[in-house]
Amino acid sequence: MGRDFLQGGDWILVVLIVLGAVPDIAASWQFLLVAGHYWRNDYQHCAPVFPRTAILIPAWNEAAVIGASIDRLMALEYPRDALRVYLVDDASTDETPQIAQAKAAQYPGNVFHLRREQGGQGKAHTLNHGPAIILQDDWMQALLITDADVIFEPDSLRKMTRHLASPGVGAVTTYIKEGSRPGNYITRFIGYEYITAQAAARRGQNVLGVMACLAGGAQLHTRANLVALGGRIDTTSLAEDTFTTFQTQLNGRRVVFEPHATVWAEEPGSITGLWKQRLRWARGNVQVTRRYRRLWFRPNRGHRLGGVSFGVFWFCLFLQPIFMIVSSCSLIFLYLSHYPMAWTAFRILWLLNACTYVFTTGFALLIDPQTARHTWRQGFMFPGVVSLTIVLYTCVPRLFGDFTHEVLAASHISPARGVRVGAILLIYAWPATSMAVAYLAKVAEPRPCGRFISPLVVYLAGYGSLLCACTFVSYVKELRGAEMKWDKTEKTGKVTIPA
Amino acid sequence: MGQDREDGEGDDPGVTIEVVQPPRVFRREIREAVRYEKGLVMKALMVLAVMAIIVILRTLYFA
Repeated sequence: MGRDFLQGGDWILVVLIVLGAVPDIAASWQFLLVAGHYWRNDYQHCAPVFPRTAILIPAWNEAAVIGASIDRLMALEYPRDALRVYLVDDASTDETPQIAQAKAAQYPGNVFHLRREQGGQGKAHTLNHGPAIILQDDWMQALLITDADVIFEPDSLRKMTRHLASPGVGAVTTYIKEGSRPGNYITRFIGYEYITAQAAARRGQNVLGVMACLAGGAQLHTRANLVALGGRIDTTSLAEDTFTTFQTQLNGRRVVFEPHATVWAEEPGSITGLWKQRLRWARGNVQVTRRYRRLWFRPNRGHRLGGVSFGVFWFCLFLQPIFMIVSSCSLIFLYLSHYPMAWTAFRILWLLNACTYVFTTGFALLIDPQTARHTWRQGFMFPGVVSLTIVLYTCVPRLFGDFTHEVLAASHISPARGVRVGAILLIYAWPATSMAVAYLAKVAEPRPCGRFISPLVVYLAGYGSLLCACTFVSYVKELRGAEMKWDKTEKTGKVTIPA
Repeated sequence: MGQDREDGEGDDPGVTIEVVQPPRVFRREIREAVRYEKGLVMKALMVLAVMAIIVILRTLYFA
């Protein structure tokens, strides 16, 4: 009886181990949907429409970037009399007010400076100062919410507004690319990540007819949509963009991603900056998941937020650290109880990971070759050196084994059994421990030699594991009810549009 | 004018239409966008084919 129970338990462990590959398989499914965008897109409903558009820019100490951003907006291929820029200055203490006033004088009737004397409440509060004024008259037909550092390509706005001719469209978002030049390893990782998270994932969501999140730096709303949202942005969470996106769709309007309209933004160039930004996003996702807990996996005629595919995508991303920890722990338990089966399960898990890695990485680099030209190294190294070595070992065990034996023999090293077991357990636990190792990169960065050690650790453990570590910390912060603090990402004006 | 709508107006009454872009430019941009999406289908198939070759090679020679 005892052995039977153990065998049954072993199979449960095998299932839990292989479940570790589910987030990657879901990502592959989302990438496959990208191909469906040729057949299921919104272009047949588009028309060359140019609604009177108010552009809303929340700004706090953005002197380094705001002047160039406004100049770019004024150079958009869009009727000048149908364009107004409202800069909401959140009690800036640098040169932002002076620059905004200078731009208002340079572009009379097109640029407006709105000043909040009491600032620091966060982006959503700052944004809401704008619609309260803009909605007082009926000039505005569409509202574009952007960030101070975002640089629009000349044709980007008109490529967004063409979707407003489509029936039922309430909001449009676009492809935000990382634009720091020369940039560093972190900005290049982000550049590659945005191919997967925007150019690929949002195309897939277009195909499903549901959008997870309007990009905070480029979201276009119809006036009717903004009014239906109560004329204001949600201020109760750290993910106001996602709440706006969900509420738009719950109100029966569609949200569309336009992949051919490109804007450029400056993203964090350090792990510390990245961590602040991603922790805010991840905590926001926890809040969204809880707020809409009655919505998941419940298909509805009015919207597609309850669709199964969308739910799987959301929770695979949201729970990825849990998948990794459960898979690693199960593998170790199985090794202790039935090690041959553990080896088989380990190989199945990593062969699945290898297949999804080849497909998603290869396809991502082809989806946006322009970005891939300077981020392909980070694309290949996204899972980290250790994970890639395990993938290689799983795919070609014989070659890898021969090589290892030869190296050990040449070095006259004969590892003791304890060392071999320790190495095996370390490899089995790697999906979970990679997050802890990646976290060390964040800890090391501000310390002496951190700027040399942190990149090495990120390349070793993987940028993906760093993001998972951040997601895991977000659970802890939310469970502890930590203060919702708005940590603004520092902008320095390094964005340039590539020729 | 919209491509397939008489007045090119969305169902949102807040959006009125002003046409300032030559229709042929608009149509060309839409054609280019759709062509790019078609290209992505081919790219996806190409990557899947590469993946299949790797799996076959691995099964036959490196297992």
